[in-house]
Amino acid sequence: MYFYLFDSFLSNKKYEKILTKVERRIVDLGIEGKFECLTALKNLEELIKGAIKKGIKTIVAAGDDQTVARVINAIADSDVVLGIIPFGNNKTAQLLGIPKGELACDVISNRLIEKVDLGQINHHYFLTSLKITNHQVSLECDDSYIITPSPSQEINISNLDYKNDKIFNPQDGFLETHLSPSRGWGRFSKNDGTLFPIKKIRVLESNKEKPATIIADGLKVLKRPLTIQVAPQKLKIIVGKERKF
Amino acid sequence: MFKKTESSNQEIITLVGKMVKVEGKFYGQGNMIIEGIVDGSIKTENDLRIEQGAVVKASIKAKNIYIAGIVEGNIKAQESIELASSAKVFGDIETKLLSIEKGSLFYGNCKMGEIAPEKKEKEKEK
Repeated sequence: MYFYLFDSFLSNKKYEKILTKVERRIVDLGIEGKFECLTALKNLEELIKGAIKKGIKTIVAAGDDQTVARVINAIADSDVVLGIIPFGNNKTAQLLGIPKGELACDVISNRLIEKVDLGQINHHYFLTSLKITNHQVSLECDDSYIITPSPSQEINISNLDYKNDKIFNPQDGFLETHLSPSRGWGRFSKNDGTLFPIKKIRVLESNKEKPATIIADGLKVLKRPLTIQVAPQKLKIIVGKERKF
Repeated sequence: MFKKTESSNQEIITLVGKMVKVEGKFYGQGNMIIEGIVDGSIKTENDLRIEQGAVVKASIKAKNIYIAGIVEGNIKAQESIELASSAKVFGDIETKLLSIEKGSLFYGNCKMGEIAPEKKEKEKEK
């Protein structure tokens, strides 16, 4: 049984046609289930909790990267499978090989399921990557060494990502940490930063009055202290054949 | 010895850039490239490159080691050690194969080659 969760921004008229196509495709493929559309009055976490209690085995997040990130956090500690119907800006779906619109329904119907790692910062999970900017921090890695980046460097901690022909595999049991100049990612060659695989990082902030900005899967993280680690094989997710890993 | 080419970039797992300082036990499984500062110890099952400008105060263990920067500490390679002309090494070296380019500095003892297990036993019997 499927539980389809449509994000509130999809109530915008511009999505009307594509939503109709998606609904038709769902019926054609025989993968109907319960449909819910998020509103200001409907809490995502409570809707998902309720669905899991009723025995739902697959939850489909229809929306952008932030929709997927919120659903992942709501289901990470359960045994349900996640499906995605991407709308708007959805880089996560691209990495997983899920096409936009009604074609995503075919991927859900095919049910190619992979177990993937999640990144975890305190009690918050992320699937793709986490970014630390405006910082004065040191990184204590795997309880054995400390890395001190320059404050001008951007810290990216990736679980699933694809940059300059390099794939960060979410099934390798590691998070890849990349320190780059704040202009963005460079090629992994001379002068272009630092790259190392880790399982656990403690972020040590030297200036507590000016805390670093931390964005995980597009969602801001505020809670301190900051411990980032890999949660191996934490999520069951439906992927497409064109996935990057 | 692994060379830094476009194709080998795919194999690089750990890269410490110029603006970065690492302190402690810096252990990895894949190839490592050091361009910054490392203080402590370095260990990898694969190859290690210490680039020109890098400053390493650490004991080092790796398969093949290329040094073009400054190293203070003992170095042990399973296969080979290559000192480039810009290398400055203050410590003992242990390796099967050693290459020292003209212009490099090396202050320390060097232990080279490999004694076969049978030969080792015979030496013990004597």
